[in-house]
Amino acid sequence: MDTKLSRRDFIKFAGSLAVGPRSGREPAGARRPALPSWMPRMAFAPEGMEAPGDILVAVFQRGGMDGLNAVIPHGDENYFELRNQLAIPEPKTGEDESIIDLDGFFGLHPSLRPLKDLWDQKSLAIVHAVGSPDPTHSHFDAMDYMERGTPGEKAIPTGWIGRHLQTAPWQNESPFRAVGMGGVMQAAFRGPVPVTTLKSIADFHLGGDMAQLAGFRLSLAALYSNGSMLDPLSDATFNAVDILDKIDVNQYTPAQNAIYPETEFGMALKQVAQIAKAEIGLEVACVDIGGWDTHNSQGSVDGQLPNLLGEFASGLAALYHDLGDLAKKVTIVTMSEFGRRAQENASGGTDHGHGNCMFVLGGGINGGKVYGRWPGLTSEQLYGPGDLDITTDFRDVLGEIVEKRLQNPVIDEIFPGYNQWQQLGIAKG
Amino acid sequence: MLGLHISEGGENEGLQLLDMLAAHPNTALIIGEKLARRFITDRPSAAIVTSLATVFTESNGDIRTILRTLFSSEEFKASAGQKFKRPLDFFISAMRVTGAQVNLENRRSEQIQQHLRFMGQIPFTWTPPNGFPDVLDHWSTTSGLLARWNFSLSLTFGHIRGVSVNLPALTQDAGSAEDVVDVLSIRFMGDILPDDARDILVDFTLQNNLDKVIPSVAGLILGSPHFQLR
Repeated sequence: MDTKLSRRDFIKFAGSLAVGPRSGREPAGARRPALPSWMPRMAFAPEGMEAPGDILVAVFQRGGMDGLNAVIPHGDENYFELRNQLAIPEPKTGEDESIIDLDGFFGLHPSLRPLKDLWDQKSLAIVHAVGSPDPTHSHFDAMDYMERGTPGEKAIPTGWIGRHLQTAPWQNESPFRAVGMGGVMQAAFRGPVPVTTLKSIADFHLGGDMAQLAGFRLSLAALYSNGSMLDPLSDATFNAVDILDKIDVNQYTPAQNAIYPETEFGMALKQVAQIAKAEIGLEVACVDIGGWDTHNSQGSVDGQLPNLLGEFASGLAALYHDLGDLAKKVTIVTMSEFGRRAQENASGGTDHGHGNCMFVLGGGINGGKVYGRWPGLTSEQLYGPGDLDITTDFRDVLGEIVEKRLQNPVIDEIFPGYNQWQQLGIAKG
Repeated sequence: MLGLHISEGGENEGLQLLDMLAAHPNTALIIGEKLARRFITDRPSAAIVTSLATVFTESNGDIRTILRTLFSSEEFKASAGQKFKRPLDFFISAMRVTGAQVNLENRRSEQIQQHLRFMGQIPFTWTPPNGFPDVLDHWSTTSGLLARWNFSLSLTFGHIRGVSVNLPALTQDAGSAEDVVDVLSIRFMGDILPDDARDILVDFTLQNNLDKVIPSVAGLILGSPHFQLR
């Protein structure tokens, strides 16, 4: 044995050897726990110091979702003036291809039908005319501001989720405390708390020659224990490999017959559910879904945007159903860097706009309601070059979730410089 | 545009705009900073950025003159080991030092694409106009590091279809564990490894059959922190 190995590495390695054989086949339909029964519950915090609140799943719709065609203000007659080719037919009972009415004024795009049940059972809330007050129409800047949580301000280098994790008055040493799906760390996570990025749980293990693997791994860990700036990253990677090794990925069957879309977004959400159920210390997961920059041929009831909305809605609904009882302790929030121009363009699409809508989903949400003041769509009411105005700052939504559902009280540090709070009453607690 | 009136002139309007942007003082600073970040360190000093920007302006943007200034600077001399290779740099350097032979049907490889996807960088897939990030903070992810390790092993074990490496040819004169480690280190890194790293690799080699361990040793060197840094 190489005497230069640190004790820490030896323990880590010995721990990895303790993984027993996978249990054999079980009868079809048997409820499988996410972790084999021989595995002790993992503790990542001293007793009484665990995170008290919900798991947060933050979904970023990259590219700028057309909120006016997602949650449609059909009670505002100007909508039908501004949207000619793109308008969705007014709600009619029984018609598949019309607006699904929510409250007589707003309605869901028909592709968002999977979300209607969640609305009816008051687990889904919507905020409309919400967004980041900075006027930029640049995707890059708008995403950056939203993920920093400091619109118009780039001096603070951390992201809002990073600051939440940093300031939370509890402890959690799990490498899965913060998980970025997709393999790239979302900018909202920036900060001192380490984040595990995942492409796919199934691929999260070390390959190579099985006979030499144990020694290979020990040597690799030793190479990363000599003071390189990459040592902490290597530690985190080995820890994550060890924990994920114990989750039975291939045998996973979502609960309540939930069906995730067979897309990168769907698979990411499914893995979030697996990690949440495995009780390995997850507090915040970020998931991205791209393709919202619909300048051309976005489609009204069929086509580009409707397909994307369908994927989005069926993914969120699958996650919610799959979580089962755990959904009481999970909050899902969606955001997009900006909305799109109220008036459709000549190419059957919509250009970069301002206000948008957000979806908030969870057992601790006061759902079945569209929050926010509707600013209207007449030319005097529109913002800048013809965009939906913003009457609710996105930080109001996120701040209330952080305070009431995640139970981190230091909102001032998470959204520094913001002093115009309005409580929407969207979250219980 | 930026306080300048551009009069009607067809294609010349665009050329005039490009000239104006190229001559803008901020362009010199941004180019200076990007080059310094690429070749020296993630957070270059204001001094080196300013000096590169000055050369940019004085030489009318002559890239040879600017790079000569950069490569002869003290900062550049002190920069070894400060840059984390981006996934594509890592991939290309691993292919090059192992002498990998690529023989692909239709010049396409799903497996290579897959490795690059897991490492996080497929060329021409960065949507924003600012280019792939060039700083450690962006690339130092758990899934990315694991993907580098797995790519290293796939490459040295010959598990990537259409890509072959001839490790026996590289190590044919190596008769001992020390020789194997040193020959591969010199080939991959240009030098033998520091003592602590070398000892770890020699011990690993000794614990296995010398004939069979070479792909793993090569994989360890490619996966080591030394090979991730430039």
